[in-house]
Amino acid sequence: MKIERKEFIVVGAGPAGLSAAIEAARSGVSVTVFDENARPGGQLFKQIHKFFGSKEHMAKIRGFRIGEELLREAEEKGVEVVLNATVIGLYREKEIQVQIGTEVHHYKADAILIATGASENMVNFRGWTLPGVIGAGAAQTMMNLYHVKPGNRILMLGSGNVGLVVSYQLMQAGCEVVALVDAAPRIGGYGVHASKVARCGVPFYLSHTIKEAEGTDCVRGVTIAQIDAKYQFIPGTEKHFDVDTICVAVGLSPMTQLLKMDGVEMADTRGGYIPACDETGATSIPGIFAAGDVAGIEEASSAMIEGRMSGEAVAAYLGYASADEKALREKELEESLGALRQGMFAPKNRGKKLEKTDEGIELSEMLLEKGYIGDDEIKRFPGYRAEIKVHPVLECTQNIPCNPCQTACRKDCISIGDNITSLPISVKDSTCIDCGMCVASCSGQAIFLVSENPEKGTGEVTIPYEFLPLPEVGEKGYGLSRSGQRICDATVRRVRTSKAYDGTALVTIEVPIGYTDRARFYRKADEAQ
Amino acid sequence: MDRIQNHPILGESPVGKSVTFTYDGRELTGYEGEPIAMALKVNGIMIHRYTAKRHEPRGIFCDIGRCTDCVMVVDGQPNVRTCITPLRAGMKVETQYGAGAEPFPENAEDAMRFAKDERGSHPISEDAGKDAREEKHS
Repeated sequence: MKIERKEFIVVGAGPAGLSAAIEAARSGVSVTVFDENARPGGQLFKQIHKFFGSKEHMAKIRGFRIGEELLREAEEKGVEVVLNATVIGLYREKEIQVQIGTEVHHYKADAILIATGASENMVNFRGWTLPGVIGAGAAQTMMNLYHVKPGNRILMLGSGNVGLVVSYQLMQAGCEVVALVDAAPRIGGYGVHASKVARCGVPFYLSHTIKEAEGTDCVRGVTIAQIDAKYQFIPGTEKHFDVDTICVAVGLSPMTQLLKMDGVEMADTRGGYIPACDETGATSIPGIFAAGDVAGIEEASSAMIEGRMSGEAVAAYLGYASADEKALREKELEESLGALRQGMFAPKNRGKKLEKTDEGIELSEMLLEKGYIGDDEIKRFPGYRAEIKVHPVLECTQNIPCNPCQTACRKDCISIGDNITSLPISVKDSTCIDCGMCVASCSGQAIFLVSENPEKGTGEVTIPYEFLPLPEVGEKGYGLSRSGQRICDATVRRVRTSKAYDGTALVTIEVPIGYTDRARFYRKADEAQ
Repeated sequence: MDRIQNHPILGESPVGKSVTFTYDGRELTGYEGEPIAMALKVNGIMIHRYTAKRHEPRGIFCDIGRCTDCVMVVDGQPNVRTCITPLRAGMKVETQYGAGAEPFPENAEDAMRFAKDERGSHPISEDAGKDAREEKHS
């Protein structure tokens, strides 16, 4: 048996694995990445939404573009990426077995990073094995990679960020989302992600779950019902929907099989059953590292930093970087990662019920239960201000690590400060020039430009719009409320697209003067609600 | 299910090279190189296989080659993960019954009818589904 020698092997060409490979290669390490898929990038190429964070985390850039950038960088640094290569074994003395085609190859490496990511969790309900019940990841694969609609009428189970983001993407692909359901009493993901789904008219059913998927050959419908505090169905609360697809987004589990196989020490944590490792991903076995979702479920943004930290640590472990260089780079990356791990959705706050923001403002219960903030509630947040002249209204009411709006505004109309989880402030007496950069920069689509014309008795609201077809100037339709209900007539006054807006169109609608604080979406007159 | 023609973020969808393949004897078309499962989906095919014990239908589930729900008999080889196997011209794709392409007795008549059927949907009889469910409860 031939055993080939490699310096540094990375398993998984997703955000963590590629980042580690790039970082290590930068210091001169020779890196080989194995991935079982036909294309690299992991799940990044299915992420068509803009990412959160700050500039250093590539905030406001869409996931698939980040993927392209990582691949370009890996190629530039001479990283070897082997595709259709499934790692099937990890043994003592850093021996690794890889299946490529029908052949099994053996390698030995000086250091190995496991960046295998995570797999989707599932829930069982009657009919859950029927064709038409799919994972949320499957929906993303079909529509964002292969340009095929996952279904026509879809019910989404799961209100975490994956469930919310994929629901929105389904609508962008032209599917109808009939309901978003979660057994938990509160929405698990970001309020801004929920709100952009809610304003399209998708109803949220919290404390509900699926009772049955109907159909004999494939999904023809679904029945949901409310559950009590002990997660038991409450009789008489059943609701039926005609659907052809049920999408399940109920969390992820780290794919730790290889690490366990190698005998790495594991830990049972809130982030799942994960390898016990230090901040650089070093496991209990010297030279074996773990980064990304396999080391605890988080976002792609944090996976990329974790990967870089592991890459740097491997470079030092193999003698390519001095202890000083390692410490310096590690500190920089740690700060960057620390910034992402702050706020209400930070790993340390998982499962906790928070009542107030860091600023001491009472959170909106409605946002957590229905997916949208109450018309009166918005006024207690610093992103709101009333003014006749055009100004930004920032409907960002939870402490999440994100600040592109602050840097997008060159007129200092928006202030977050140094702490990126602080709520954005719509600055009083600032002069908005209606450039729209803030609206397009907001990954949560939570910024609106608002103005009033008291003489005419009208007002204008500029909304972010990521659907086709784009409305046309002069077109008549309706202003929709935060919950997606028709509340007033609306005329389209302006439609702006620009390379700088990166796919987000800015649609300005004219509404009666009393509705500028309430109209948050637009629908053409002849379109069904 | 339809192909997406134009997407607000991804733009116009690429048009692949159209190739012909057979599905349970019927000629269908798809894009060369796209996963077999996608070509089947745009042709309205939802059922990829029937399970060995309970004869229950299965289709695409994870779509990344992990769950094996979408396996079919491709060019005579069973257990091919259609969601990650690229479509090639002339491929012979067959519904998998248990571990082979031989229909179960309750599916045999449907499968025969289907081979001649030009409609888009798989004419599974209501009874076949009921059998599977009863078996599940017994």
